[in-house]
Order: sequence, then structure tokens, then C-alpha cells
Amino acid sequence: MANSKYLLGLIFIILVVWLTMILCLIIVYYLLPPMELSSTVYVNELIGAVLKLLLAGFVMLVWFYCWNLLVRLYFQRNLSQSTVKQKGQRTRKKKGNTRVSQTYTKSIP
Amino acid sequence: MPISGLPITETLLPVLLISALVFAATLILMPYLIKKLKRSGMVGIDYHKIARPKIPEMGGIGIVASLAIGGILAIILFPETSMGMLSAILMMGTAALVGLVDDLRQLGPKIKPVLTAAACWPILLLQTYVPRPVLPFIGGTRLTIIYPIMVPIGTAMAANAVNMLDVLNGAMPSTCIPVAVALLVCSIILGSTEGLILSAILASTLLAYYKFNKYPSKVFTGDVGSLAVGANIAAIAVIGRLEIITVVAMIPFIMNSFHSLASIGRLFERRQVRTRPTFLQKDERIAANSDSRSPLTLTRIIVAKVPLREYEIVRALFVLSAFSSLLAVLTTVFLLG
Repeated sequence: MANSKYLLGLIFIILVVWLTMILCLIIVYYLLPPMELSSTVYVNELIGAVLKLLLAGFVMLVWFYCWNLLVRLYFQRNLSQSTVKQKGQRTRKKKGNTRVSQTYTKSIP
Repeated sequence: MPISGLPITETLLPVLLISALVFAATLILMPYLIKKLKRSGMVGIDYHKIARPKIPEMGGIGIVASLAIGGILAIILFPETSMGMLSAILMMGTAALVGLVDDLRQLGPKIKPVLTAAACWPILLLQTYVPRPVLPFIGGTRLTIIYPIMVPIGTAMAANAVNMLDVLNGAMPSTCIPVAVALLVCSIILGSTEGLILSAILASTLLAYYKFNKYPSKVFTGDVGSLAVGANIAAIAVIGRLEIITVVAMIPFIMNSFHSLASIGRLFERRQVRTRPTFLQKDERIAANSDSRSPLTLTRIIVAKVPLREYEIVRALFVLSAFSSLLAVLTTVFLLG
């Protein structure tokens, strides 16, 4: 397949997403529960639970943001390397082409 | 592990029988359905071909019928799993109904996810879920309050993710078959009877359907089929207790939906997008649109560097789906650890 190397890039992205997803799960599960407000009052326990949920949500948002950034950078890099003429694009004629070719012709022995 | 308590070893041969019957039923049903759809004028234009042929739409009705037949056979052969199978059939049926309405009347981009989320009502009503998902390296968790809230969100995400990737000939079955097979393998490893039965039915239905949807398509799936398949995958995840495995297997789908929505910045319907993500060249290769307003779909990412023919893109999607399904099986190994 012509794009088999390109596919490797996307496979690598999926692998990174999978590994970071498991890492985030471990962070959320092991880091957050030990955090507790030192009180036996129910309201404080509720506030603690809500804070844990917000922190877990924050970790997830950071993960989504990094994933989005990685894919966007990858896409932009590949698009810039593409030689496909877009619809409506005019091919620009470079000025001074004939002058360069005349110089080149003169230099040939 | 299974909700029904039925050991998995007793189910393998009967599941094989149900799979074979469902496979045959799909092969027999589809040609009649295609003829019927053509006669009724239910056709769509294949925009990825220069000739723009008219192809019968809503072939997903055949998928829904086959899945329902498989579910009913499972209820007859495994009465212990009847609650789980019934929830899956009703959930898939509800999502199919939403898809049918969308195919005929075009639902808005905000109402469709809400209605597909509501498709999970059988699971919540019949209580065929266990709010204790198992996570890799962590083990069992207890999410008694959050789990019932996550079920409708997960259903909407799965159904719409499959729907959003159904853009090319054979794309939906090519990407969903590896997911179904991975869920089948993981169900056997983890001893999930409901997961095994449902994923076997889904895999055999899609394998038979692929014959009619592959390039060049004889029939399009339509929202009726893609939403039903997505809801079925969500049902397998919840009823089969394969939540995190399903998320891993569906990474390409999540990638497609997430990056499309993030690039547009809001919920949108495919038909509303003015700047298409790709365009068709004269040689029938599909190339990426460089306009920054175009949604960042997975197809657009695949063809960003080199334009490809439709079947080559679908092959690439299959490879990506197969890889993430392999990671899902690997995740299962971590779950056992």
C-alpha cells in the first residue's frame, strides 16, 4: 500500500493514546482517593467527593487537549508535505523563469 | 463475571450455531431488501465516484433484523440470559428507530445525540448492568452513582461515533468487525457469557453484510444501521461488563468524532458542513481539503499527504481498527493481572 509508512504514524498515535489513557486511569485512581478533607462532617465529605470528580475531569481534559494537539500537528505536517493542487488554487508562475533558463543555456558548453 | 451466572464453556457450541444462522439469514435477507429499497425509490448518491451512481439506502434494516433474530435465538437457547438479550434487542431497536427517523426526516445535530442517549432505557429499566467496572492495573471499582449517568452518555457516543465513520463504501463493517471480534475474544478470556453471545451475533451479521456494502457498494447502511450497530456495541460493553475494553477497541471511532467536533467547535450534522473535509479528484482518488474550516475527520488525516482511492482508505481504516482491537485484547490481559 502506498501509504503504509503514513499508517505507521497513525498507529503510533493510537498506541500513545492507549498508553496515556491507562496512565491517566492510574493517576486518577491512585492519586485522588487518598486526598480527603480532614473532617467527619457529611458536607465536607461531599465537597471532597466533588473536588475529586473535578480533578479527575481536569486530568481527562488535559489528556484530550494533548491528544488533539498531537493529531493536529501530525495532520498539518503531512498536509504541508502534500503536493496535491487544491480546488480553486491557481498555479503561480514564478517571475524570472526565462531569465534563469537563458543563463543556464548560456552556461552549457 | 457474567450477569446471568451461566458458565461460558456451556455456551460455545450453541453460540456457533446462532452465529451461523444469523450469517445465513443476513445473506438471504439482503438481496430482497436491496430490491425492495430500489423499487421504493430509497436511494442515495455515491459522491465518491465520478459517475455519481444511485445506491439503495437504509440497508441497515437488514442488520437490525439479523441482530434481532440472533437475540431472539439467544433468548430461546439461553433463558438465563434473557434479560440481557432483551435489553440489547430493545436498545438496538430504539437506536435503529432514531436512525430511521433521521434517514427519512433529518434530525438536528442536538436532538440526535439526546435521542440516541435515551436508547439505553432498557438497560436502566431492566437493571442489566453492574456498576462495578474492572479497570487495568486497578481492579474492580464501585461507581454506583456515576455508572447509570455514564450509560446514556456512552450509548450516545458509541452510536454516533459509528455513524460518523460510515462515510465510505464498506467503512462501517470494516471497522466494526475487528471491534466485534475483539469483544468476542475478550469475552472468552474474561468468561463473559452475555458479551460472547452478543459479540458473536454482531460479528457474524456484519461479516455477511460486508459482502453487500464493500466497494463498490450495492447498498448503503444509512443511519438506521450505523446507529443500531453503535448502540449494540454499547450494549455489549455494559451487559458484557467490557466497558474499558470497548473504549480501547473504539479508539479510531473516538478519534474521528472527537477531532471532527473539536475542529468545528460544536455539534454538527454532516449535511450542514459547507467546507467538506475531502474532495474527489478526476482520477477518483480522494484528497484532503486544506481549508482550515473543514472538519478534521480520520479520512482527511489519512489522505493528508497522499490522495487515495476509496477502497485504500477503507483498508487503512480497517488496519487502524484492527490495531486498536489488538490493544483491547492486550488490555484484557492487564485486567487479568
